[in-house]
Amino acid sequence: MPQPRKKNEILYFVLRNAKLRIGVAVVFLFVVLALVGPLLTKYQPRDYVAPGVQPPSSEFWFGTTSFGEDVFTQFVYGLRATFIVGLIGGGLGTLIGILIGFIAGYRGGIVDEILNMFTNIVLVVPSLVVLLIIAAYLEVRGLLFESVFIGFFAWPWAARAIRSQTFSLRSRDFVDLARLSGMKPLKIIITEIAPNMMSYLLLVFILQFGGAILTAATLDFIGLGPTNGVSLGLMMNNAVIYGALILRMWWWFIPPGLAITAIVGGLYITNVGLDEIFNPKLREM
Amino acid sequence: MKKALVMLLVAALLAGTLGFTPVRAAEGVIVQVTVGSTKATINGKEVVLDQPPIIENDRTLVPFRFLGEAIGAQVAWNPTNKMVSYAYGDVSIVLIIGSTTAVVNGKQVTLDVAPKILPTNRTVVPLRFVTENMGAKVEWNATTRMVTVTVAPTPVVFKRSETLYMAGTAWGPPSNWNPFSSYVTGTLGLCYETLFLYDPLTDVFKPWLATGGQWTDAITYELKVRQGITWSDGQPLTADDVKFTFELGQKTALNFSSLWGSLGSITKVDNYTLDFKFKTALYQEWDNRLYTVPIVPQHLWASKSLTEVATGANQNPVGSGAYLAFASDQSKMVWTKNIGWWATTALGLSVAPKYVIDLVNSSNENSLGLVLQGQEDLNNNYLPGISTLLTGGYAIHTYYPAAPYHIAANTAWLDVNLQKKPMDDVAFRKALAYAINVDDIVSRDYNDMVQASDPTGLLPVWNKYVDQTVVSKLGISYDPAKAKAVLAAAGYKDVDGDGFVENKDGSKIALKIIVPNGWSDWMAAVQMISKSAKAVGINIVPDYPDYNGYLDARLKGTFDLAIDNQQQVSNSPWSYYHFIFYDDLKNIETTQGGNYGRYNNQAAFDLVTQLDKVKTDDLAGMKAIISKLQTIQLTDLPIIPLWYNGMWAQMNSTYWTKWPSAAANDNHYLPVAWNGYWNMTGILMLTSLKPVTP
Amino acid sequence: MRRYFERKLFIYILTFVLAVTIDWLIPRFMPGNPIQILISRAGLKAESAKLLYSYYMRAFGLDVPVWRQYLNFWIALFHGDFGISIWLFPQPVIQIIMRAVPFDVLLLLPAILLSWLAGNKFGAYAARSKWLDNTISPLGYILTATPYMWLGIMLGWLFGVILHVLPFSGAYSYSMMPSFSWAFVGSLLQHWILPFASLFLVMFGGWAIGMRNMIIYELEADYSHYLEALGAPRKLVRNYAFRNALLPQITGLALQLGVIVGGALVTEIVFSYPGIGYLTLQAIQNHDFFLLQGCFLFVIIGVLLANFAIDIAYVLLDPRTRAGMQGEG
Repeated sequence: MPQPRKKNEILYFVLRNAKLRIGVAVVFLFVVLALVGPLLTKYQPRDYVAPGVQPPSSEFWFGTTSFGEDVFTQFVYGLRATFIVGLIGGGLGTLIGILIGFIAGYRGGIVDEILNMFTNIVLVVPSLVVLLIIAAYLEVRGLLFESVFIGFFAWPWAARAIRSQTFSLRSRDFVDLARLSGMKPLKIIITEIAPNMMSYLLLVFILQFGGAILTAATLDFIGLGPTNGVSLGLMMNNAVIYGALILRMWWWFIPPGLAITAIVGGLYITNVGLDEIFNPKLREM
Repeated sequence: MKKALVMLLVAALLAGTLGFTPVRAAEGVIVQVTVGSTKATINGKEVVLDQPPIIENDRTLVPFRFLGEAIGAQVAWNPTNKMVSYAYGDVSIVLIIGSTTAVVNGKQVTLDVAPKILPTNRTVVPLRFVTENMGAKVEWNATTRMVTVTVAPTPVVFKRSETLYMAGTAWGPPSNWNPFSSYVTGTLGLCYETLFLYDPLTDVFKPWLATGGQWTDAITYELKVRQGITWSDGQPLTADDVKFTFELGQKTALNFSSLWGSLGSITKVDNYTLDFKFKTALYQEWDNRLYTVPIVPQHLWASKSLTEVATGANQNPVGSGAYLAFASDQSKMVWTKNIGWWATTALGLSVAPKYVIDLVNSSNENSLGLVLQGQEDLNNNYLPGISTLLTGGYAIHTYYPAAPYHIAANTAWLDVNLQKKPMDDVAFRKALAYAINVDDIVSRDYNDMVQASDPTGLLPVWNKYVDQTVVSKLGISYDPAKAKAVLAAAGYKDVDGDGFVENKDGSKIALKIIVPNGWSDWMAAVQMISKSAKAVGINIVPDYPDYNGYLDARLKGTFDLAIDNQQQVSNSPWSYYHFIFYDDLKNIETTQGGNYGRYNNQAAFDLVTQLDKVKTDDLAGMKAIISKLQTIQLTDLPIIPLWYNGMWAQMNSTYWTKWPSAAANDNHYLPVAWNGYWNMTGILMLTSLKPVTP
Repeated sequence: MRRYFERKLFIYILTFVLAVTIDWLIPRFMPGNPIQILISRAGLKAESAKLLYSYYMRAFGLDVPVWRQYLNFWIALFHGDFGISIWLFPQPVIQIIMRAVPFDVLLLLPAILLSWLAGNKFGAYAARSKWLDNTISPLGYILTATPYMWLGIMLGWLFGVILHVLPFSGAYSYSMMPSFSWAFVGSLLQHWILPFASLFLVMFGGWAIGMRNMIIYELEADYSHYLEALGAPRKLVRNYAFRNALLPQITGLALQLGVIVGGALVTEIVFSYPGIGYLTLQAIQNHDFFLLQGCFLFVIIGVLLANFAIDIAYVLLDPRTRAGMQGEG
């Protein structure tokens, strides 16, 4: 269980934890690239700027597509889209998870029963297939829309986990005390329970972030992502459609996949590193 | 726990393997016949013969067709030479009635007893000789006088040197062999055939199921059906079948049913002659029917219900063509050579590949890989980047060695919705036509694999119909400065300074140009159109609804701009004008007849009808009307022609050579296996191929 | 025990009813008209198009009131009638799906079970030795973060294009028809390797990491320290830890099913492997909403069955519920 502890102690372990250092560094690197990348290129992602099928060169760092679009430009813009989806989709998934988890965990009884059943149903239905079907029936799809939908289907496991955490916190002395002093349930959740779960919620958010990125990449790859725009999943989709494998245009399909793997992997490692810091017992390893 | 897991895994593997249904030929079969009895069994199932087996010189003789069909072999009967042929796997057997000499796999063999025609008019063949040559085991039970033929299961393997692999026509597993419906490629052309073939490159009709036909007076067409043609089940093809087929279109809705708007009746003159009497003769349209209507056998189709005729799947099709449906699975359709094809004796033609396998398209990626590696011999997909690979040391070639690489198949044009502002203004359409940089699309998007269209949109094969004086006066090509000038002169100005012109009333212009999502080359093309339009100040953005949405927008007339290429090459530009000047404006949504921009001009519609009534050999008469149509088209711009889509054909000569090509000493047949192209000389490509012998 | 299964079953039935309703509902919001596509594909014009239009409306049951359509949907469902495919007209949807199911079984069952087993084994090893931990854990993190399709693309590119040793499209060679011969089974396996490997590797990473972390949790739990203090051999303690860590891994399998289904879908698409996933994409691209409905229902049924199997496995493996069962008997 997370315990209140001194700030500098945490900082010490943060700096000392190799997993955290690596994970954060990788994610940070890509965040920076997503922010400044578009400034480094003079092209637009969908512009035809060069002859097609150019391998990487000093002019086109990641080469060009079959049509002569600059892969690097698409890549950095795609990174932006990736982080936006992660932030909105992952954030929304965490938020809904927190909401349902807190209410179910704190209220218990019939409310818990109903919410739990609802959670279980959404959990069983394969979300990607539902997303797929929804996406297939929409004529025009946007990035925001995609993120929101991903968030709507990603929350169940978070809700479950948060519910059980809330459950165990609910019976703690300090919560009982607050309740006896006449505090409203919402206030108890916000002022007493949530702060004690902050670290846990952060871990949940990180996993939701990574999950949303993977789901979005999958949707985009199938060709059901945003209709107008660039994303890493869409780059892979285009590479496959236009025969990049057979034409051996490796520069077209390696960067987007590699970036997703690195970002999501970085997030996971960060997650484990943070876990070790928050749970002192794990530090010994 | 572990045991349970292992068992689960084994179960998975078994389930995976058992889920398949092997083809019939692979299964093996047991056939039992009894001398003197009409009762026989095939795999234990009882069947009745129309002629009991007889014994002669200690040899059992059985009806030839029953024997072949029971085993699953192909049977053919040649009435002129009195020959019976069998094909089973790699084995071919030819027997001659009354002769003790037979040919097995090309070698002469002597028989103990000759095949013969019995007084009952049934043809019987020696059972043991035929089946043992096919690898079967034959047992004779002297007491019951019963013969048991056991054919062992053999895996079907398509020998590479005898098989032609092609792709580019099938977008899903084979499911329909009805020549009147959306069928598997080859259903029309390989299996069912048409009266004539049409060669668009030379503008010549080749007699096919018909030997000829002529207009005996202004409204009577006399058709001569070829004699000596048999359906693949052995029944003769006669004038009755042709009459029956055309009359099906009167009874139910088939794709040629509109013919009966002008056709009055069909009269049978004799077994091989028909008179088609018209109410009003529409010569252009009739010529089209001559090479597009598939002739079906009356003896099998007369018993079908009319809905079945129109929409049934017609599994196990029986046709007259060079190939028979052999097998199909999720990834392919397999056709096998029909050893009794009429054209071999009648025209000396023989198709080279024993098997033609049409692979279902999975992805461009995969197609490209297969055709580069020679696993696919013919690919009719648009393969981006192929022009860069032609010189890459692969054994691939296209019809033309250099740009445009492919023969033009249809015109891609811009549908402009004339019901909407500002597209209802001809000046705006003109500006748009000046703005589009087609050459850029041709070179960048298509790597010069297509050509820019003539301003009239007529295909190169219709060049002779283009009135050059009209084109030089009214034709429009890329000229951004002129586009701007036309816009300005018509009163379209950029009022709010956003770089784009506004409507004359000051409202913003924001148009969408649609193509179906996933149509990669078109998606790139509309991006380029959007860019060049923006460059002259017209705000157009590309939009990619899925195919359904695209279709819907066009049918309902809700789109702004759309790319369209629905009119394929044909025997007459009439079909093109009939499409772009389609006159039933109220019913476009249901009839899907064309003119999606809703252009309304009775004068043009009347000209199209007039054109239909001009005889097809009256070139001057046709040209006179077409010239008028071109003047209207180029003045009013109901559509904006862009480029010609090609008959995409990537041919690999690793296993097969003598592919069609533009070179003088090569054959000039159409190298495409698309629906409707086999009967435009595609089938002749198969007769001229030669296997590469190692 | 009984109550546990009753509750689960209730949830599953409720899920199923909900899924069927969604399934029925969604296509009816679809823009456009699938029957027009069918007619367009048939290349029909004018009068023929009109006649066929009304015929198809009848054939597809679209000309009755909405509530009747919903009722008919359920009735048909229990008759195994999923309607007629538009894409592969006139084949029944159920026939098309049944052809695809064997490939899913062939691909998914081994991939899920083997990756779970191997992942848990290696995860447990990793928790045991520093050296293994330093190699398996990073690899596990990378694998589990890899998008399924990208791993598929990379494997296809490496083994199919560069090394040219394995096929990367379809379920068996184009030059064969299904038969019970070694050649065919061999071809089947050859085409199975790459899609299997992509699925296996990604899932393997996840399980290995999960197990490793779980064991470390368990080893730090009070009971482990207590046992060690009592002088129990380290091996025994680790065995206990492994068994306790296995249970959350089983629950994890149930939680992961949705993700696995998604992974299988894109993997089948990358390798054109003709399972339900590939079929789903085709149904979407061809706007065959009857086929799409069928695919979705089959996926749901598959996932529900798998969940139920996992519930049973959980009960069998959990010593507490096992003891409870003995008590009952």
